[in-house]
Amino acid sequence: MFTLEVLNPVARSEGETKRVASKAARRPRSLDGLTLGLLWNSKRGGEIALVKVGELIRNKYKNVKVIRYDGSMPCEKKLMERAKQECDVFIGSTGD
Amino acid sequence: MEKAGKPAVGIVSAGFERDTMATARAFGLPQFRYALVPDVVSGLSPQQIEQEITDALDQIIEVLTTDADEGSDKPDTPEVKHAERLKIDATGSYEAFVKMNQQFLELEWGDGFPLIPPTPEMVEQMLKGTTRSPADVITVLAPGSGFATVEKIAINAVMAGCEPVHLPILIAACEAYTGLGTRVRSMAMSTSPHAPLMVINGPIAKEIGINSKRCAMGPGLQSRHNIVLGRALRLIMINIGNCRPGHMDMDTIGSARKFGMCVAENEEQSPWEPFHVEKGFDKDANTVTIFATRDEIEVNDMSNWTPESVLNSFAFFGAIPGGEYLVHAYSGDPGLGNLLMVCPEHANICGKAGWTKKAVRAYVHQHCRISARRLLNKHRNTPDIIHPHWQWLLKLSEGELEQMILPVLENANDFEIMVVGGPTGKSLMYRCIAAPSTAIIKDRA
Repeated sequence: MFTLEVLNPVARSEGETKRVASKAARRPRSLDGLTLGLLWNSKRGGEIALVKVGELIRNKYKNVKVIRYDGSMPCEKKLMERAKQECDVFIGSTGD
Repeated sequence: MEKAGKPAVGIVSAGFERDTMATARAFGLPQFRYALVPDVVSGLSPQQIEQEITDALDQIIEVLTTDADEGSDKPDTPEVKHAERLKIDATGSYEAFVKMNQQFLELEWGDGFPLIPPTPEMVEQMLKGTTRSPADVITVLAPGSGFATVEKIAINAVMAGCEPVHLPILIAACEAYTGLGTRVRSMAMSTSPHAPLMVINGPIAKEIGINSKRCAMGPGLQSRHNIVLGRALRLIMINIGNCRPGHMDMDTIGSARKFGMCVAENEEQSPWEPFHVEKGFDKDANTVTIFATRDEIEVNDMSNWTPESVLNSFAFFGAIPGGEYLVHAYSGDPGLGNLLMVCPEHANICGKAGWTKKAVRAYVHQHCRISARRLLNKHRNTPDIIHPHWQWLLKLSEGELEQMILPVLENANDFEIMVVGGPTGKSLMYRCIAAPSTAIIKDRA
């Protein structure tokens, strides 16, 4: 019998630490009266998907305001901060 | 957005589910939820995209208006992934070696080639290559936000076949990798075949024997240090950066460049100051530079002997539609760092005629031009992504676009230059996606 002992090469992730880990945000019961942010990172196709979903949600719920944010890869911090201030919920797409 | 208390949903294409959740966990959001569409939308017509989104509407609304189940943040991973040590029982040492390799590959801890077993003794030996403590965290490695401790770097170095003398180089490589900034995630995760190229400068290259001359980027005895160093960086990306093929590394086809690329600059046969000196480091400093490469092109010119003619070859071979500067998403990128890996013969034709690196760069930039028609072609169906400054191009006729000649890269400084190779008129050019990043090799034992 031969036993080979080896060390694990995989690192712990910062995402698993308490300092970084976070629960998902509490959800509203309905989207009525909310402001919806559409986050696009400028990759082809994402903008079409986002505009369409904004239109569908506006038709389905009452008084929904939709704001589209055209970002880059990655989105600039300033844009993200402004989006956070202006919106209640978000939909994002990358295009691939 | 979730961390700021704002409900968010990502629209994810089928095939990217594991990638999405691995990314969410790396950012500390294990409860992240998404809506799934059947295709990668960038390849669909507007009508197809709208249909897929309409079909996904119920999922999108559900994610935005219902709370996540408690316990949905537990990743489905086997316990063995978290064990510090693994014991492999076998009838003999060879069978144990084979079993370990099978297990590591199944756990997605390898690159597909046989791995050297990282036994505690081998790792201890490896750690003697640096004065740093095993628990020191060198950096948090993208894309998985893994803690790159000296010990984890050493374990992966053993697996790649490295020697203790290589460890400080790999520690510096991790620092340089993170130094690529926001583009490092693109290099690691893209659907394009992006791959890091490590370049070593300074006396250490000769001291260890890192190849800078013939076959320096190829297989075999003379490049043995290059090979294991390049391979170790890929294993570090996989196991520390969690850049796993198929779910964090989403490359469409892939490239052999991703198994590892490492080379030293041929400083002694260069007519110019070495790359690291040009970047402000001392000549005697040892450095690692990471280039985030996109692809590789040979500049084959054994016929010309004047600087202009040779550099025209670089300009011709490099005149491939790039034009990222036309696109909104890339605006503000800190350079692209396309690398001219110039062979000594080409370098000396220029250097001996008095051409500086700056002059070479300016000439190649000036002549590496193509028609606006070719430059724009990739974006013809997506005019929205063209930067507002360049939207006027879209109003021109085909004939006018054909007549208008534009540079492939925006700035002359987007070209980087270094000398590598043996005595033949054959250089290489690497298109890159970011400005290169350099770190000093230190704490050598």
